Amino acid sequence: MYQRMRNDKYYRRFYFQDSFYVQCQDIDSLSLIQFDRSVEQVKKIICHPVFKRAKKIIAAGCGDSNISSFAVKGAFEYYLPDVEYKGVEAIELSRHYDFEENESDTVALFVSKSGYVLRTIEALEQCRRHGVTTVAVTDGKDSETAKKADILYYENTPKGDNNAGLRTYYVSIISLIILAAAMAEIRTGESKLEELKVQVIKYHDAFFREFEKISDFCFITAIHWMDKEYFSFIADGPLFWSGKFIQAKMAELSGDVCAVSDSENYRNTNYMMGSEGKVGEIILLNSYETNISQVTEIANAMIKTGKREVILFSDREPKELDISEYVQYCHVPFPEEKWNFLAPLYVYLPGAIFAGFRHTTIGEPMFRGGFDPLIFAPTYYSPIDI
Amino acid sequence: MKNKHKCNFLVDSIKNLGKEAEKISNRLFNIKMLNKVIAEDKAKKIRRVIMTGCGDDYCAVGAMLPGFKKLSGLRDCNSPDIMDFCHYYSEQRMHKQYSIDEVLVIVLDINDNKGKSMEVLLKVNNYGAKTFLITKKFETNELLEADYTLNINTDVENTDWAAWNYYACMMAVIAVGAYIGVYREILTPKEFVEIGQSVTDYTKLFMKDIIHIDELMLQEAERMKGLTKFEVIADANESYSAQYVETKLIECSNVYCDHINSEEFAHISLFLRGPNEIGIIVLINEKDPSMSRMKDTIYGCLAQQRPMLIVTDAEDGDFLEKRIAKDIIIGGKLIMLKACEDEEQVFGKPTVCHIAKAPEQWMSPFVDFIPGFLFAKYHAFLMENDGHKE
Repeated sequence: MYQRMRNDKYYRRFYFQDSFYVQCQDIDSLSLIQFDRSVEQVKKIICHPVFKRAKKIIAAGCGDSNISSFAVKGAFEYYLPDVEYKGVEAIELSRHYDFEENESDTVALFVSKSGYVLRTIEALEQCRRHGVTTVAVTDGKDSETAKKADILYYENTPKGDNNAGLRTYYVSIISLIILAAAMAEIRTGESKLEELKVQVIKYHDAFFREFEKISDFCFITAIHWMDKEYFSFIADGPLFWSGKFIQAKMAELSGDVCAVSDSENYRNTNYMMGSEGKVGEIILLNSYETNISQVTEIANAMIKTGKREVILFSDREPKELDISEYVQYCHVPFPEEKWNFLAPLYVYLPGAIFAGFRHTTIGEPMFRGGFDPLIFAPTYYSPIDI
Repeated sequence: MKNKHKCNFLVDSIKNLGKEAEKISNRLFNIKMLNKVIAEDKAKKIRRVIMTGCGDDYCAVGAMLPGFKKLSGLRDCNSPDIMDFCHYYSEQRMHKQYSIDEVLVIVLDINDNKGKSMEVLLKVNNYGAKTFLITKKFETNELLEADYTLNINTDVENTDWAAWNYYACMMAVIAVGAYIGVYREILTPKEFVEIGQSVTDYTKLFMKDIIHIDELMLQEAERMKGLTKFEVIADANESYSAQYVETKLIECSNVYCDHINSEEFAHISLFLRGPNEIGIIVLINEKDPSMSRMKDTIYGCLAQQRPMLIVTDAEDGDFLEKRIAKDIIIGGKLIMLKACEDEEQVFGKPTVCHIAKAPEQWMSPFVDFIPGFLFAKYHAFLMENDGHKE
C-alpha cells in the first residue's frame, strides 16, 4: 500500500521531468525528421533487384524489435498484397524455422537498434545459410548485423536518450513502413512515399494535438491506480502488438507484470485473473475495426460482473460504442480507416506514458537500477550501458 | 503429502489416460472411419491447411502443428488465433496461390465456444474454401455449416474434462494430418496406424511415472502456494503447452500468469520487480534446438532466485552445470564475467520433473502439459481457491 500525497503538484514536478516522459514527448519532433532520414536511406538500397522480385518477407528481432516486426504486418499487406509477410521471433528463426528448399525470392529483415543482439545475428546467419537475402535494419552501421547482412538499411537516427527504447521503437516502425512503401513504388511504378508522408503528418498532428490531455489522463490514473498489483491489457489484431510493447515497458520501467490478451482470450480465460481491486484493466480499441461489439460486451461485463476498474483508450466515447458501464475514457486518435496500418506509429504512447508515470509513482528505478551482466550475458546484450 | 492435504486430483483427471488414449487412438486412426468424414479424392486435393479454435482448442492445434505438417507433408499450414482469423484474415491470406478446393480450414470446437466457431465457418464458406469441424457435439448448428465433421466422443467417466478433452483434441488433429498424409503418399496405411500406436505407447510410458510426478507437483504447489504471479517459459511447439498451463493456472488459481519464449524472457521478463515472488515453469525437450538458450535463461532465473520448476526429458545435470567464467566482447565493450565464489548461495536450485522421452519431438505436447496441469490444480487447492469463476 502506497501513501498518496495530498497535493498532486508534488507528483507533477517529478512525473513531467522524468526522462522517459521526455522520450515520449520527443517522438513528436523525431517523427518527421526520422521519416526523411529513413526515406533517404531506403532510396540508397531499393534498387537492389531482390526488392522487386521478393515473394516472401520475414522480419525478425528481439524484445522491442521483435514486437515492431509483428506490428507492421498491416503496412506490408497494404503495400505488397502479393507478398507474404511474416514476423518471426529470432529464437524461432535461428533454431526452429522450417526453411523452403529454394528461398531465393525471400527477403529477411533483421531489426536491431544496436546491431549487436546475438540471437538476431544468429537468425541472420541461419537465413544466409538457406539462401535468403538478408537486410540489416539498424542504427549501428558498423555493427555485426550490418556487416553480416547482404544489405544495410541504416536508420540514421538523431542522437537522443534511448533508455528503455521508446524512440527506437518508433524508428523501427517508421523505417519498416517506409520500406514497404518503397518496395511498392519499384514494383508498381507508382508514387507511394509522398502520399505516405502526407498521411503520417496528418496522423501525427491529430495525435500530438491530444498529447497533453493523454498525459494528464495517464498522470491522474497512475496516482489513482497506485495500489494495483498488476495490469491487464486487451487489444485485438494489429493493436495487440502495441499491447505487447506496453507490457515490455511496464516490465522495464516499473517492473510490474502486465498480461496482454485479445478480447477472445480475455473472454475465455483472462477475466479470471486476479480479483476486484487488484487489477487495472486497459482496453485499446479502434472504432474502425469489426471487433467493437465483442469488446464492448467484455468491457460491460468487466465492470458489472467483475467489478474491475477499466481504462478505455479509443477514438470514440464509450456511449457511442455502447459501453453502458462506467469506464475511465481517454480519447486517442487513430488514422483514417484506409491508413489504419499507421496506428502502430503512435498508439502505444498512452500506455507507455502510463508505464513511465507508474514507475515514478511507486519510486521504482528503471531496469531496477541497472542489470547484472552475470545473469543474462553472454547471450543477451541490452542497448543500455552496463 | 496427500494424506496430509486430503486431495488427489490425479484420480479425477488423468488416472486412466493410458487406457483411454488407446481407445481414442483406435477410434481415430481408422482410415475407413475417416474416409466417411472426408473422402479420398477430397483429401488428395488439399494443399493448404489453416487450423484454429478458442482457448484450450487453440493450444491443441498449435501444439500439433509441427506434427500435422510432418505427417501430412503439407508445408503450407498455420494456426492463427481465432480472433485474428475472424476479424483480420483476408481472403488473399487464406487462399494464397491455391484454388478453393485446395484450402482446408479446420475448426476445433470441443469447448462450446459456439459463437466464434460459427463465425469461422461462415467466413470460410463465404470465401469458398472447405471447412472441417472437430467436435464432440452431435447436434449443433455448426454441423450444418461445416463441409466435413469429425465427431470425437470424449465422454469418459471420472475424467477431468479439461485435460482429457485437450488430449483427445490433439489426437484428432494428428489423425487428420496423418490421414491426409496417406493420400499424399507420405505415409503408408500401415504407418498411419503405427502413428496412433506410437502416441499411445508414449502416453503409457509417461504414465508409468505419473504417481511420482503427481506427488512432486503437490510438493511444488506447496512450495509455491503463496505466489500469485507465474510465468511459463517454452519454445517452439512447447509454447502451446505453456499456454495451456498458463490457462489452467489462471482458471484454477486466478493468479497472474503469462507464457513467453526463452529469448524474449531475457529481453523483457527478467526486469520484473520481485523476481523471487514470481513462479517459473519451464518446458523444454532435451533435443530441442533452443536447449542452450533455455539453459542460459534458466541460469538467469536462478540467479534472480526465482522459484523454478522444469518439466523435461533431459537429465538434472543439464540444468545444474556450474557457470564458466569467461570474458566476452559485446558491442565493442569488454564484459567481465567472473565465476561466483559461492554459487550455492547465489544461484537457486530448480525442481526438475522428468517426463518420458518422446519418440519424436512433435509428440511431447501430448503429455508435457500434464505436470503443469496437476500443479495448477494443487496450487488452487492449497490457495483454497475454488477455481473457475464461470
